[in-house]
Amino acid sequence: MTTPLSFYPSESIARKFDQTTRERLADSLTYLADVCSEAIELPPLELDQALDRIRTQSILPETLAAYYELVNAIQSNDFDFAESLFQEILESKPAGAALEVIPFRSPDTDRRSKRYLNQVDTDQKTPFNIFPASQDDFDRAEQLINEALDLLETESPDLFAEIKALLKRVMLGSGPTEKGLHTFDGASAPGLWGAIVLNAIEPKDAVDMAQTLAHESCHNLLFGYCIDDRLVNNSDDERHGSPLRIDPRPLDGIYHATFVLARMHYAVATIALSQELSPELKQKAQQEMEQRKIGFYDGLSTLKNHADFTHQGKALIDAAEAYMNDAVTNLPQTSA
Amino acid sequence: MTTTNKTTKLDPSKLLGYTSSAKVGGKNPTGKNGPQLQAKVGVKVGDKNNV
Repeated sequence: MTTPLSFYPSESIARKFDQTTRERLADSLTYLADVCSEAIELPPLELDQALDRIRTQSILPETLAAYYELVNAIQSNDFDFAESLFQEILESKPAGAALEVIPFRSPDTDRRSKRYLNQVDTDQKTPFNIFPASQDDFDRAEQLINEALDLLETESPDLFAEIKALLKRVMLGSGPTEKGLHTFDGASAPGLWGAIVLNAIEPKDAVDMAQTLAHESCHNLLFGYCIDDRLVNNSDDERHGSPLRIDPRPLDGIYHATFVLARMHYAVATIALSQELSPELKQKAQQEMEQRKIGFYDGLSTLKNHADFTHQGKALIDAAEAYMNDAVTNLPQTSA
Repeated sequence: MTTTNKTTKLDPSKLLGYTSSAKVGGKNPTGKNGPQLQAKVGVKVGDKNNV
């Protein structure tokens, strides 16, 4: 796959990654069906129709998550479970065009929530603490998502179009508020292509939410760049301080954080002058831009000192640095 | 009963994302105990004053 590279938001790049993901998924399902052919008898017509559907229409994030469960089931020779997962994938419906906001529910009773949780709770040292949000928190966060998307559509149409091309689902849950427990702002996972999980109680206003959407959708974009390649060659055992996390992170994670910070800066810079923002939010946007800039150069310094970039990893981070250098020099300042 | 203690070896090059190894598993996935899909999570301690 020849990957076009751009720091700036691109709907066409997002759609290309989505297409490639679905084509690879269909190819892999064909392979898995063949591997399992002695243990599982799949109806050939249904299989062909499903593979054709996957290749030509958007899929829901949970369909891809089911695929990874299928891989695990086959590797474990759990062919009963594998058959049920195959059937689920064969019967899966295409994703609609609209970005759907859905609640995280108890994973004990809600299979979709359990599936999402399994994909984002991957760090054994740092359990992913998430609970169902209260209805009030869910409603408030959903309203903020709509406000932020409206703002981006007007002020940052390229980013809006990219987010709409990347994301099918936003799952809203709630993190713990007790002292000492790890909580979260948001999470993305390659096994949930097209979905993000957000903490409904963290974003306080449209400026926060616009950055949160830019942040998590950008992780999805970087997953797209890694369908066939990497960003850095460093081992995940090598850990350094990260601009976005309190715990030492692998260089790949620091790369994500640094690139994402530049995109958050881009998002807030494009909305900072909007007439839709109150004077207070305009002032906040300016302050946030400064924080994103500091975080970006902090992460960039770590990357320059320690990262063994791939070709695409170097090209992308260079593009982000060029944006940030230009923004620092040329962006107008507002008086709130 | 089709569940056994044996495992089926799959070709990583034919599994979505496993060949990139950047965030999706490793080059030699070995089943449930193998490398996991690595999520990107914005983590912080619940009470910032308690960090």
